[in-house]
Amino acid sequence: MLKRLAEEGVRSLSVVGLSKNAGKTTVLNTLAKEGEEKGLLPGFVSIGVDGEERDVWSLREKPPVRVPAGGLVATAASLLEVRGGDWELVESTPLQSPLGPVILARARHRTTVKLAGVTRSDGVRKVVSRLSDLGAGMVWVDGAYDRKAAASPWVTDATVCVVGAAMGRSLDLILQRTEEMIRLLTLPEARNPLVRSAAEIARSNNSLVGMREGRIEVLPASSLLLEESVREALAGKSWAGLALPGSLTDRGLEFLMSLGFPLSLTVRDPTRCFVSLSTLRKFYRKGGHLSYLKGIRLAAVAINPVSPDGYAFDPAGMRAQVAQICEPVPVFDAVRDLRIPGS
Amino acid sequence: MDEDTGRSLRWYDIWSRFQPRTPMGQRAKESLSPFMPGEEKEWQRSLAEQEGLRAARNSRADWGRRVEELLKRLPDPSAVLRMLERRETPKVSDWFRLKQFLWQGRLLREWIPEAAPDFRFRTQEEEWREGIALMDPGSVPSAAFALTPALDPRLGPLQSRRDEEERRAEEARERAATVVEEDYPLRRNREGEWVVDRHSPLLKKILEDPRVLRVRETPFEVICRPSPTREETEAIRRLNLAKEELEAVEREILTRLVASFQPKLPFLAEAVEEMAHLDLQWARMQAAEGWDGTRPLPGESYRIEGGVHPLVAETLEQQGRSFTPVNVEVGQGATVIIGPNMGGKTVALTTVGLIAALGQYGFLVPACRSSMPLVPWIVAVIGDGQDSRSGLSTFGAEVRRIADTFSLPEGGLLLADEVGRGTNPVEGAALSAALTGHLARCGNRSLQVTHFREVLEVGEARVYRVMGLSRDLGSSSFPPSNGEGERILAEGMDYRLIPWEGEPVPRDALTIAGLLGLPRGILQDAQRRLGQTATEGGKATKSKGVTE
Repeated sequence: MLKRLAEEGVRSLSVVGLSKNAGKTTVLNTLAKEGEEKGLLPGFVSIGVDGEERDVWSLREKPPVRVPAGGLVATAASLLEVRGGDWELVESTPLQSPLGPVILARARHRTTVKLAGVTRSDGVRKVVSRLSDLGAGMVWVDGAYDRKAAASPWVTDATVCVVGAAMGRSLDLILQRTEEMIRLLTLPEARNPLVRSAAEIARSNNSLVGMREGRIEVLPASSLLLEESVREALAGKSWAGLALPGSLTDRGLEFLMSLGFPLSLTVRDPTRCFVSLSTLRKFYRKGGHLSYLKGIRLAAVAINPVSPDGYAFDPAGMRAQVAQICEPVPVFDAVRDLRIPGS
Repeated sequence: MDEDTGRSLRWYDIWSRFQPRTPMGQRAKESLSPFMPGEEKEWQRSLAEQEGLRAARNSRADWGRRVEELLKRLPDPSAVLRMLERRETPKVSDWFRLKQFLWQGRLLREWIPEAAPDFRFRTQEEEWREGIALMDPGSVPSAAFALTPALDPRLGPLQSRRDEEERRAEEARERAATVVEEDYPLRRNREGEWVVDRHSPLLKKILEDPRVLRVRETPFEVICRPSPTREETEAIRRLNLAKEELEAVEREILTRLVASFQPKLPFLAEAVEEMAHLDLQWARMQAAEGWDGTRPLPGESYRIEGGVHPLVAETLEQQGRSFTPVNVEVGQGATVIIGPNMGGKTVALTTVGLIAALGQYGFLVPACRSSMPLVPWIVAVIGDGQDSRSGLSTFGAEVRRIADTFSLPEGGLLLADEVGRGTNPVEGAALSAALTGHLARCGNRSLQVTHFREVLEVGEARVYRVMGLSRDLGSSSFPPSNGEGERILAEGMDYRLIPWEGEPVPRDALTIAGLLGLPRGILQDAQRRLGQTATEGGKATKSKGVTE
């Protein structure tokens, strides 16, 4: 899988947990090792404030990432001090983590390090680019708990989602939430040039942009939350589509449906889409259509059937059912599979 | 300059445009003092440096961008310096910070004189290189920092030994696992663990095998790993020993670095100061670019040609209007500005004050040409100075602030806006004239704006008047439509200051009131009353030439 992704130009991959304690770090280490064996020198960076203290697989204190000789990391200086002699500190950055300023370092010897999260997405994007410049064949972005931002297609080229037992006590509940998330993440990118132009304008102007009769019209509203402004802006005209600058929620979608437009909606990217599957189904049944300006390339879904709360699901059963939902996206178990699918 | 003066001149808005890039520069900004009398030479040198930087940047845009980038990335090594002074051992990341400072500082030390030869550094380029070499004695130094064998020849062999023992321990573990995997259908995952299904018929046997160590379990599986063999245990013992020795040498290197930097501490302190100075000068130069600043020359009086208040100019520009540059000389004694309401007198006053303050703080100033003295203080008494905290009215607060200047050292600059307007006009005028008389004779410089004709009777005062309203406006049809009055007024007002030589000064208050919408009846009544007053008191003032 990694070799193919690299051949297709993927230089950065985020690992995102669909819940707290999903088991991201284990997956990250497994994938990075796999990549290293394929000649992809890893670079590591974490996004957001990570609150997980213990690893869900081992139940031990959260494991650090394993870095081979020559591997690169972006983390707080204090975390590099733990094995100060193992590192060549290469560059300081103006970016901040909860543990202090972020430094770029290269391992002089095989070692381990904990990652302190870079708190801003644009900062992560810059770090990803810099780590690539410094020689990382694949930059791994460790997405902190509940931070869909790590999956942003504006930050990384592709994403691996981790479905952990910690998502819920019943497998049915986990499957339901997984399906919801995967469906939203994999909705299509807009292809129509007019729709794409409208979405680009919505993004750059931070305004709603309407489409009708083959033309684009910037509307005097920046969010669906401003219902009165949106209602006024849309009234009296027959709209074919609408591009949103910000997030789409159930409330926003219900509101648009109440206006009675069979709209084609375009959202910036899947990390801005917060609608439930039931509302989305209703929208589709009414003739609606939802697409993204930039979609996420979902490279794989990893499962972890063990919860740190002391319960577990049958690994084979969970894997089979998640695979059924995620088809055609490959599903793997980082701990039990001896090889990553496609490797 | 006190807080009220700063507010009146809009100093704090201007000050916020002065943005040093480095932490050292930002600290230096916080404690920045103005140049004071006696520091004229340093002041002019500082201004010349900024001119040099600006000329270099304008002629070599790429050079400017590189300097800007380096300043943005220049770290603050002050905390490391304090540790070194206390002979504490900085950590690896602290040394990295110091090295980054030296590396980027050295580049600035080399690049700045290349393009701006007047910029003076006290440190020598060689000192910067020597500092870097202490942390990076290899033949090709870099901006990075690592504990390399170049710092201690023992590191290389110890690192090889550690790597070797690590390899041996791994091989031993691999052999132990392979043996187990030959006996059972097991394969390790990437964690080096075996995950055994609880339903596996071999589970009992595997768990009883002494070569297998159970590490944890779930309701579905048991997770095991190879038991450490004697060979592996021995390799790990040797590995730990090698690591301990390595860490001891690393600690020794860091301690040795502390000793080698002791003779360099005076240089480092100077280098930090020098970079803070460069950053301040760069930030001053950049801020002054916003107002097209020029260098003020030293002089005994404030001579300003083409002076502009950048913030007022920006506001006017947004309204499609332009700022009328201020030309004025404010020397020792009293200078007075007279003119109609809304004629820009107060703007002229704040413009002079701002230019004086900027000059004194070492900035290129917003004027085409200027000269000025360095003065011990600048006080502006402008606007509503009501002080509710001390229970003073506008008049009281104003008098208190002026009175306070009398206890200040001689030679300062006082800017006063319509002194005495807050009390009854008879006493206010007398007070204003008396104050002007005093200011004309004392050793301070003062500029005041007034409507009191009595002030003009003070013969020693230098007087400027605003050119005023175009005479055609008197015949405009009143009242103009809503908002039109302000536009007519702005277009019809000539804001230029010209020296007053005793000619009659037009009275425009009623015309202006009319333009701003006061009903015709009231204006006519005022005109009638004005005629009576003029008849009653006209003789005396006519002899001074201040009536129309």
